[in-house]
Amino acid sequence: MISSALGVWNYWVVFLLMMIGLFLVIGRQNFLKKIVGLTIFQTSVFLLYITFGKIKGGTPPILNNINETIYSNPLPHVLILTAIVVGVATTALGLSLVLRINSEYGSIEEEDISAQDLVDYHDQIETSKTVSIKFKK
Amino acid sequence: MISELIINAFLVSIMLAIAIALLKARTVIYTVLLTSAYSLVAALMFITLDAVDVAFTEASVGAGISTILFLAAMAFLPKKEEKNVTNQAFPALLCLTLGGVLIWCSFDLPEIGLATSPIHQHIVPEYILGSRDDIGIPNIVTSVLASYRGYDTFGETIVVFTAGIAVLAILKNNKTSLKKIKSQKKVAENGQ
Amino acid sequence: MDNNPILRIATKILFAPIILFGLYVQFHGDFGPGGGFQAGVIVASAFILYAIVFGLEKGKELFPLSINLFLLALGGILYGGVGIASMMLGDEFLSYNVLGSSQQAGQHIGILLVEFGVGLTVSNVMIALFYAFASFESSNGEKK
Repeated sequence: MISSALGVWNYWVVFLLMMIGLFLVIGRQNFLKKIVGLTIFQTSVFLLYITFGKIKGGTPPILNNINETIYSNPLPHVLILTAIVVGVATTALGLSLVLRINSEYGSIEEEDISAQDLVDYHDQIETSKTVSIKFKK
Repeated sequence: MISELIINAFLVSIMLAIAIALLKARTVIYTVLLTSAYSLVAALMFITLDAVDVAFTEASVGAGISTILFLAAMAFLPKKEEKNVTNQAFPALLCLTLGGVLIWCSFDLPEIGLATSPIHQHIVPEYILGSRDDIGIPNIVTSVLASYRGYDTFGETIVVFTAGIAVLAILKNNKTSLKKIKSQKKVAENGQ
Repeated sequence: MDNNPILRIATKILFAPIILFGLYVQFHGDFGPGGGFQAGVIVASAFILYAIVFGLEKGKELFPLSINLFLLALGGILYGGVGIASMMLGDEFLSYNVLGSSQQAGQHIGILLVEFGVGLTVSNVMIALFYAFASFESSNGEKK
């Protein structure tokens, strides 16, 4: 009973972490927080995969000379190992985009940026109006 | 086995606590350091789950380099997060619903550590035997990574390479910003 | 930060051992935990530590950007080159059996070269990322 409850607890917390990450991505305005949310989500998926690969009483998948050793599943380890490094590279890409946005708009809050875009858009409409009026004259 | 599970549950609860603290964090430095701590606890978890290679990678990449990159980027960003203006009820509701569905589905997942679960049946026994007989390398993860799944790793290396090149391209030539060019154009048009 | 003697001397002492440890992780990856990805990051961290403590200019003197970009591409080319070489010797792409005298020897050579390529690319991508972030100049200085 206790062991099965503990066995499910791992999955549950992984799902909760996933949802916290998702909430940080879709619920927050700050772009840096969004990227941190992506990192949280990523790590929770890694945990899920590694949890699947665990075998009771197994050893890390490094061969030894003892017969009948149970090795934990190495396949998820391989997938996640590469995914971690790729994850950092893509996080860096996201950070660089945030830096550029900050230097363009002077803010990394979503509301600020869309408001500035709206102002720009109306400016553009007005200038095009004046241009067309000039053209008619 | 029970003790392993208890350590596991304890570490995963620490991760949950850090994630909840992240929800409340408002300053950037606090956020970055909490993320680093989160990665470090994740690395500990990977060790208890027998994934030593992954733990090594997570400790060096997730807790090390990624924190350095965040700190380097932080120098140019606002130090504080502003209070949310929009309503957060809808995203929260969405996440809660999705989380509830996932937890409901988790009852169909195999129990942790069961040797008969489907994931252990298919190709992995061949990899373990092949690593001993065909390749002759003790670390099965390395032999799967570089030999059996060499295409995969090639693709990942190219992705890392491409991401690096893309960051260099994005961060270069920042001085002539797009908005300045636009405003200069505007001035030129108005002058005509 | 470059006026603090403790940091300077500790960096000078630690620099070589970090790279040595990186090489150990790289070439011991066949027998224990480790491999190209981890080793690349460890070697990169030595150069990043140097650049943080002594300043970006000194760091770029030690490890110039041109060499960095060259090695960045070389890693991927090395990986692909091993695949092409195995094709030239009459087997499939990235099938290492034909590279050595026996099957196991060929696999050993192939895995060693491929992991080295991964290590080169990862370490140089990390250093390049750090250089890019550290030398970024914010253009909105006048706004604040």
